[in-house]
This record gives sequence, structure tokens and C-alpha cells, in this order.
Amino acid sequence: MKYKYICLILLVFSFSAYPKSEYKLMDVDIDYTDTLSIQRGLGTYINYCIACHSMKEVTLGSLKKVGLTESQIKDFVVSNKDAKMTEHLKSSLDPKSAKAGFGIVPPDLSLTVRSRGEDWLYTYFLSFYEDSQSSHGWNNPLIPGLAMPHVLSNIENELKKVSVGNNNIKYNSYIKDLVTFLAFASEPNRVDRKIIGLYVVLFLIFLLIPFTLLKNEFWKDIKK
Amino acid sequence: MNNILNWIDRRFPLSSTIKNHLTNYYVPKNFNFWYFFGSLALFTLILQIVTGIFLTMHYKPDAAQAFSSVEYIMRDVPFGYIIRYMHSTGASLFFVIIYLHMFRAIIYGSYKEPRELLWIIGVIIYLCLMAEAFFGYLLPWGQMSYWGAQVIVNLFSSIPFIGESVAIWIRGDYVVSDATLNRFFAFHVIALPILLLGLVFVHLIALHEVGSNNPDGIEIKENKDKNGKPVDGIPFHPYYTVKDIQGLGVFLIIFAIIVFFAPEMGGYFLEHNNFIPADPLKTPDHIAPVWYFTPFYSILRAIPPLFGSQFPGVLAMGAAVLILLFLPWLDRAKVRSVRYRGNLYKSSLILFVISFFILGYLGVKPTNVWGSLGPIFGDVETAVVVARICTILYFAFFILMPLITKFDKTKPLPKNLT
Repeated sequence: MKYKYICLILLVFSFSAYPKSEYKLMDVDIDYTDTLSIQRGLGTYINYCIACHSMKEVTLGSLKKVGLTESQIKDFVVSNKDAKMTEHLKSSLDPKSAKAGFGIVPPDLSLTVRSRGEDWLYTYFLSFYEDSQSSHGWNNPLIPGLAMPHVLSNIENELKKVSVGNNNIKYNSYIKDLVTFLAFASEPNRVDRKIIGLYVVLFLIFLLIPFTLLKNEFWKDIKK
Repeated sequence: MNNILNWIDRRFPLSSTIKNHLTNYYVPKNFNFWYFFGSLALFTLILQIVTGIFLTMHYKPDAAQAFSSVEYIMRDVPFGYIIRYMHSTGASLFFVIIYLHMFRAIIYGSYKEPRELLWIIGVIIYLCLMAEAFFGYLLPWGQMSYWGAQVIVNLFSSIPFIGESVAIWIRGDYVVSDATLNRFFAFHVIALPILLLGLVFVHLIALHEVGSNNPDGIEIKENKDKNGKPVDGIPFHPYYTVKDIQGLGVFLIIFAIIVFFAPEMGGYFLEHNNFIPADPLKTPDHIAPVWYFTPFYSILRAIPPLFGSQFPGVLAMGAAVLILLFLPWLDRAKVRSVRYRGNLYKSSLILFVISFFILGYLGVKPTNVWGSLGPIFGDVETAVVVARICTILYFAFFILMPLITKFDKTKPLPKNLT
């Protein structure tokens, strides 16, 4: 019996004795209803990302949800007057030449926020550092030895010039816009879902009132 | 109206069925919280079938299209995301309900004579439900779907001699592939739902033959008034229909809150890795089954391999589920309900529940979640040791049950329901 207790005490101590070390992620507070932020993030995606990264689950039509008109989508997003709203955000880079050029096919970004999380992406974009060991001169602690260079480094430097203090606040909010867009793209119906959900839950709460009255009416003659 | 009813009754036993199974079917009057889960399970089964029908209209069981077709439902099908979240939330809540329903049967001894068959049919339904959930989980064709299926099917290849052939027979290929997806789709949408509906029907027939147990675990049929009606019984309809509707109302609120505000449930109902399309060339760092399988998965991992084979673990996992079938004969107590049992049984039950929860928790985590015990114990991983202790406690509940229930001091039973 004593032996058991000793084991138990040892167990309790060992739980805290070996903490797991993970890279600390920064917190980002995303506002899914901020359509202007989503539009700015979309701009960044169109200018810097789509050359390599597709979003093959995202239709052009779904961008109407952030306040863009069909002609705006045709003019600014795909620059193609004949584009259909059922088409997807596809990169012009074909997978075979990507594999030959970079060693990997750049991952599709349709659902990155759902698989990685917003905080991870935000931290990732803000964690690039110069590394002379790397073939393209950049590295990132979240994906050590990654194949992608710091595509936004020019933007980061530009915005640093206009930011006050040590923190590059302008660049942080630029990245936040991009993450907000990626979050929107990963689940375009998220805002609708919560609005509908509020009505459904309120309706069900009201529905419970007649259900409860009905039950009480029948059960009042049943002796405990 | 009466004429129509007469016309039907001469050709089909409508009135008598309603009478025998609803208005004149007597049920103990003291059902508590635990007795909502039978009707809720039936409701959830129907909900899964109805939402499943709508999902099938847009889903494509094809390895090249499955993932995108689910995203198509989530994004472009009108209200498709609600249907999909209802189905995924329904799957998890179905298991919550079934686990609570089974736990009810355990604490009130509802498996004991004369309800052994009722219990056994229930355990078979549970087995079918596990298969149904397992087949369904492959269909979104995400990384977790794919590798989860790979791991589970590989369990069969650990069977000595015939294992590898069995695994290939199940998959229809050397790895989980398009062929596997197609057959799992067939099992998920046709074979198992039919089986489940049939078994649920038989479960209800068996229930109505013996009548419901109750929290006191005494037979209401043994105490009848001069009209032959049980003194402590009330007709199922209207009393329990209105009560179950009230319970359903509460359930629907919880269900809707999850569907609309937390459908991923922090990665437990919909796993984060499953939003990455299946990639046969890239094994995820950590493969965990969905939460409702994790207690058994933990037992599998807790058993050390023998001659490099995982087969003992697989056997233990199977035994952990199948041992439930023998519960009616392992319990030797004279009383049914935990209310009239002694402290010995109560403590063993509490240990069982705790070990089940710990096993469930450990099953979703990698085995190094709690670090290791340190060099004195040869750096064995803490979680593995805890899982082994819990596995022993899990089986001890059943294996020691004949002894515990025989020597446990029980309290005298009341004549009437309390």
C-alpha cells in the first residue's frame, strides 16, 4: 500500500516536471465582419500570393460577400472580363513546374486558417528573419528551412519607415488584413452562420416555454 | 373519422398498436434525467439520416473530388454548411447520448434479468454505430480521415497469418485509396443505416416486452391495483411523450449552440488536420481518432507489443468493447440500482468512470504528453504508465464484478417507487 502512495506522489510530480516546449504564438483578434479589412487582405493575396498559391475552393462569386460587385471582381481580382462567378481563385503556376522550380508545390490556401489557426498564420507572417544559410536568404522558426522566401519584405521595410517606434505597427495591421482575408476565405459563411444561429437559438428557447407548460399541465396530477 | 379508423383496424392493427405501445403501455413514474437519452438517441438517428440524405445529394465519393465536394457543400450549396455541421455535430452528440444511455443502464442495473437481451441488442447497436462513424469519418477525405482509416485498417493486419490479406480485403487496395472510399461510402449510407434501423426496432420490441427498468430497480409489474394496472406506472402517452418533448427542447438548444457557434468544438468534433486534403505521401505528426474512440484507442496503445506485433493491443481493444456483452452475468447482486448497492460496488464504479475518462483524454494526445517518469524508471513515458493503470482498472471493473457484487452489502429494496 505504501508503495502505491509513493508511485502516486511521483506521478503527480512528474506531470509538471517535463513541460512541452513550443514556439509561442502571438495573439491576433480577427473581426470577420470587417469587409474593408478582408478587401485589403484580398488585394495583398492578388498582388503577392496568387502567383504561386491557389485557393481552389474559393469561388469568385463568394467574394461578393465582402461587398465587391461582379464587375469589380472581374476587373480587379482576375483582370478578365469573361470570368464566370463559379470559377475559383487559381494560380497560373502549374504544379509540375512548381515542383521543378521550388521542390514542392506551394500549398493551397483555401483552408489554411482552419488547419493552422489565425494566431499561427499571423505569427508566421511576422516571424521571417534573414538567414545566410538558406538558398533564398530567409528562414522562419515556424517552418524551419521553408521553401518560400519573405515575399513581403519590401512592404515590411516600406511600412517600417512610416511606423513610429520599434514596433512595425503598420506592417502588423497589413498582415492582420491578410489573415482576416484568409480567415474569411476558409469559411465564407461564418458571419451568416452566427446571425442565423442567434435567431435559431432564440426561437428554440421560446419553443421550450410551451413544451414546459405542456409537460407541467399533464404531470400536475402525478404524485411523487 | 371513426369509420375510417374501423376500416383501417380491420386491415391493419393501428388502434391496438397505439394502445399497446403508447396509451396503455405502462412505464414507471419516477424516470429522472438519465431517461431522456433513449428517445434522444432515436431522434439523433433520424436527424443523421435526414441530414445525410441531403449531404449525399452533393457529395462525390471519389478520391479526386471528395474533399472539394465537401467544401462545395460548405460554401456554395444553399444552407449546405448548416446541414453539414448538423451531421458532424450530430455524430459526436450521438455518441455523447449513447454513452450516457449506456451509463444509465449500468448504474440502474437495467441489463439484469429479464433485460439481458435488451442490453445485448443495445451493445450490438453500439458496435454498429462505431462502424458507421468510422466509415463516415473517411468520407471528407482530409488528412485525419485518411490516416485514421489507415491506422484502424492496419490493426487488422496485425492478426497472425491472415492479417495482411484481411486488411487488403477491407481496403480493396494495398493502401487506403479510391476503392476504399467507395466501399466505405456504400457501408456508411446503405449497409449500416439499414442495420441500425433494424436493430433499433428490435431493441424497442425487446424493451416493450419486458418494460422499462427505473432508478429504484424494482419491478412495477409486481405491484398492481385491482384493475391490473401497475400502481407505480403511468401510460407512456401522454406522460412521457410530453416529458421527452421537453427534454428534446433542451437538447435542441444545446445542439443549435454547437452547430452555429462552435461546430469544430475546439478541434474535437472537426479536427484541424482534416481541413488538409488527404495526402498518401505525407503522414501527419500525430494521428488521433475522433474523441469517441479514444478510450479504446488508449487501451490499444497501453498494451505492449508482443514479438513486435500489436496484436495483443488489438485483442485488448476488442475485448474492452465485447466484455460489455457479458455484463448481465458478471453482476451477481440481488439488487439492480446503484441506490441500493454498497460502498464496495460504488467505489469500483467510480474508479471505472475515472479510468474511462483518463483513457479518453490520453487517446487524443501523443504518448509524450506528460513527459517521462525520469531515468530512475528507465525514462518510461508517464502517459503510457497511466494508460496501463487505467486499462487495468477498466478491465478490473468487469472481471472483479462477480466477487464485488457477491460480497457487497446491499440495502433493502422498497416496495413502492421512491
